[in-house]
Amino acid sequence: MVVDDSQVICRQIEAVLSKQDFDVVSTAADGVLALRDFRMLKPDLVTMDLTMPRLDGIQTIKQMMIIHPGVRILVVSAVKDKATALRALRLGAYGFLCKPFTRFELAEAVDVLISDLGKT
Amino acid sequence: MKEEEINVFVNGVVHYFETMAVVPAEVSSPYLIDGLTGSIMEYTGVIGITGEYQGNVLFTAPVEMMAKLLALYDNQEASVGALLDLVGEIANTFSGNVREEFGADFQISPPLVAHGSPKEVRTAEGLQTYCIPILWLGMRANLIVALR
Repeated sequence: MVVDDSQVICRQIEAVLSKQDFDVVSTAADGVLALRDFRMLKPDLVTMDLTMPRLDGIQTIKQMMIIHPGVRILVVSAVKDKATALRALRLGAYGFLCKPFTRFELAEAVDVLISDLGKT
Repeated sequence: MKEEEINVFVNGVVHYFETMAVVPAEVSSPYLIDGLTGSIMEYTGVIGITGEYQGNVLFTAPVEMMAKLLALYDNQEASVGALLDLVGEIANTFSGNVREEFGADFQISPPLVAHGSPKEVRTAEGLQTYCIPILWLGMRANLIVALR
């Protein structure tokens, strides 16, 4: 599942994930839409923007971890300060990728999440 | 704003083009502007800043540059909607990246976007406003920073 208020970024992430043989089950432009789809679909992996209208990424992560604690969340955000990254990780996010990113950096970050998933 | 603070934005612009494009951007010396007349181009993304700093960060670029930048994102179709989306995303990226230096209390809003340099594009009044010229592939864009 891809959550970002930019359609351009959603499509870019979707393209990279598709090349890695993931099925992207939903894209959402804000936290409210993301939670609606998340409850129904319970995806294994979510990429999550932080700055979004209506419900931001931090609040969305908090809710997702209550609904489906096994989900792997990769934060993909331009927000680059340590305090925010630590907050997201403490809430349950597994990784943090800063924008701008190359498709190789995204693929690598997803690989790390998946390899970790395989070990548990 | 202090010179060191403006340089944080300059570094963010350089990093963006180094990451996304084969050809790096050339960033000219920032200068003070009085109002936005003459600085706004066809596509503009505006970020509101609150918290310890207050004001706006704008990224504004011509359609030709926006189309070239969009092509860096897996060759998506250059519709007006996609270019508006991207100009907002770039403004968001430049604003979010500076939190590494300015901290989490540099709070950024989701982007507002505009097409065709409308008069509604403005910054909060009474702020020192810097224009950072960005030259890339023979085209020019501006990053405009107005902060208290």
